[in-house]
Amino acid sequence: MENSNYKNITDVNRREFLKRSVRTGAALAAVGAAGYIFHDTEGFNAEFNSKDSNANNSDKASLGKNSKIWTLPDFSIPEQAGKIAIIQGADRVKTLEAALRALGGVENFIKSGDTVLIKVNAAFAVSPILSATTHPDLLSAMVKICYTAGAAKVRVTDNPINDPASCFMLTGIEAAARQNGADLILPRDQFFENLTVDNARLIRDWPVLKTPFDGVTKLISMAPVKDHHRSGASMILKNGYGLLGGRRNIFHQDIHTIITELARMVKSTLVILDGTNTMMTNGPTGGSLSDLKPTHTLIAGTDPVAVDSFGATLLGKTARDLPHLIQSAAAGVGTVDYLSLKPAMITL
Amino acid sequence: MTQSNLKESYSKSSIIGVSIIVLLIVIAVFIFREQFNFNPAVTALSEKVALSESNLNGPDSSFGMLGGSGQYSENTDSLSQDLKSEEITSVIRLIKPLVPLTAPESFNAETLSDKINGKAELYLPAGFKSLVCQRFKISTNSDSKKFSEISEPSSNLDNSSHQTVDFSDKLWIEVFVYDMTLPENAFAVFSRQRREGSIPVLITQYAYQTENALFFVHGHFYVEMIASEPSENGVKLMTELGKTFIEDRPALASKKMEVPDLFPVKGLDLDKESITLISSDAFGFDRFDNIYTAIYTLKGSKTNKNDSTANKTDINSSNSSTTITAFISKRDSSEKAAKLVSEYAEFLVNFGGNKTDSGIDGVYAIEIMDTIELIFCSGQYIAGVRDSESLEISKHLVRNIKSRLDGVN
Repeated sequence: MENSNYKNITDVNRREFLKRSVRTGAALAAVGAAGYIFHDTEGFNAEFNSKDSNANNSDKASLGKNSKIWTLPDFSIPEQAGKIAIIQGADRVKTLEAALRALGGVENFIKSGDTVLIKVNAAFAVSPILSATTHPDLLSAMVKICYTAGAAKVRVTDNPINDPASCFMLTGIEAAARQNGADLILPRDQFFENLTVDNARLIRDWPVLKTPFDGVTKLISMAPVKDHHRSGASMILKNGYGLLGGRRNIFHQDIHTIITELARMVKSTLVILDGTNTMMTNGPTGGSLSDLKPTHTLIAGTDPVAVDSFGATLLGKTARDLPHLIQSAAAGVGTVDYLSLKPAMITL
Repeated sequence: MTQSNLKESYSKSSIIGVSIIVLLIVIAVFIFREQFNFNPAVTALSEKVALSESNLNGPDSSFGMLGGSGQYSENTDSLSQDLKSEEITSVIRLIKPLVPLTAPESFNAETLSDKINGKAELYLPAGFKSLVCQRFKISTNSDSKKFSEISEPSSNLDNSSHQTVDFSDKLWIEVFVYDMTLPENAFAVFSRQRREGSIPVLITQYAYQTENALFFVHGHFYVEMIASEPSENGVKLMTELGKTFIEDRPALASKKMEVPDLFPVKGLDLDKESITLISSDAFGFDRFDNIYTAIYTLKGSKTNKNDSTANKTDINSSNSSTTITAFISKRDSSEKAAKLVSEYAEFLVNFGGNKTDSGIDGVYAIEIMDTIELIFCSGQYIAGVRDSESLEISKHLVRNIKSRLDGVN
């Protein structure tokens, strides 16, 4: 028996070699075919895409079904870089107008014929008095100002954490947008496409809200100043979170990295940080008016890191308390030394 | 090639062959097991989709707009289980003139952040089981119609013809019922979020209201009621709603916590409102869980930190006052309590603390960062004071706490 086996090993002729090669090839082909048959080309998206397309489900929408990679355009204006205005006052409309004047006028940012996208924070379906979302008065004023400056179209969007329809309505953002002629864009399935941020660790082939950006020439980010249980603060940089789809809450485990990557991904024309009533505790949802402090400040500018760094002071913090600010500055997004930008500081 | 070489070569080939087969089997088993170990992000999404569709398919539920005559959950122990029934239209027994504004929503540990985002990290380590929530409004027919009209999002970017209703200036109330598994867990999240300047409400042992909200603990439930605007009517409605929630669950009223009552009352800030339960990692020590803390404001000099001969009468006669944090925790056994106290003392020393003489038997005294910490155990309890600038005041408070704990033991 043993001799026979040895013979098999040593006495392989051409015919035997070919037979064995064919058998090996067939085995490999069978394994490959099995892998191909069992391979799920759509992943988990298939389950959700197969459901009723009329379902009002932002998660289904946010997964996206398109693996095409795209890049968010850079909406910043190089000649307006490094500007910041800090306006103190309790009236949001007046502080916004003063801030824009201090930055040289809205004409520096919005030109005739522009299509403007305003990225609001509509994360929660709560009353605007809680200051957990972009205030409708501020949004109304900004939309009007854009149209006055000659904007052809103004859009308002966000991908909220709660149900989008209720978020936009109960926060007053929907009314503020529509009553002033802006289009409100609620996130839907076909509005997301996968995006990869260069050299990013987390935002890789991840669904990002895309369609609202179609044809957009200017981007304005508007957010309130809030305490945040996980990241320490929620301001302009954190506002970028609302462009992400999918199960983005998994990024909470690495919150400062994801905010830094969002800071690199979103390059706004102008940012407006509302510190009129700062949510000092129990953020980011708050819930009680006693969570708020009347800090009566609005910060506007073109350097989101500088704007947030000043915003941190309203929370009784510094940039050193918020690692994502330090990391974003190190990534070249802006500077935490807002004083170096010689901010216009005005009290109304 | 010799016969022995051939035999050796054959053996090696066999070993290599068998090894490869074993390796392939191990890989196959690993892959098979992984099929049942999905990323939680994916499984959570599946559950939410199912829940969302359940709500969408319910009666009269375009965007969850429900009539006011529907049933409410009668399961007083676990509200989230009842929400699977389409007949449940309210998470709480309603009072007139409130009617549901939106359908009930339910969240578990994997989906909680879909509702409260980053604040989920406060609830999850504290024993969170489920959250059910729902919005209510004052009944008016016209509002119902307008609300449902706005529910369906536009299908494209051109939505200028869409009717707009501004609901932001109307009174509505959102009720959050967190099932925290145990009363202690419910108290933990309640106490960690307690608002300064709030007004106690006498509907449960732990309840308070602010201008626009009501917060309370009832058994293992932590309940938040948040109104869309500050108003007397809103506060009144929320208080009545809270009472009905409690009345429907009388059995839970007896589930009171023991430890908060062990803190001496004298000097306790705002009576018992400063008592907080830290579920985990208290004071940066990873083995300190379920630690009750209380803030005391006591009269006495701050300068006698190292003066062990200071007269006790100085504590009460001084006009100045100092703030101290006291803490108590009940452990499984006296042995575990003693061991934990020793470990915490070592933890403080490792972080630059210096052991010193407390002057009280069995009490560790550690100076750290210009403050004094005193720690001790009494039976199953560990306790102490921290953040103190005065050894004598700390000793005075420790004696009071120790006396109460010794009495319990």
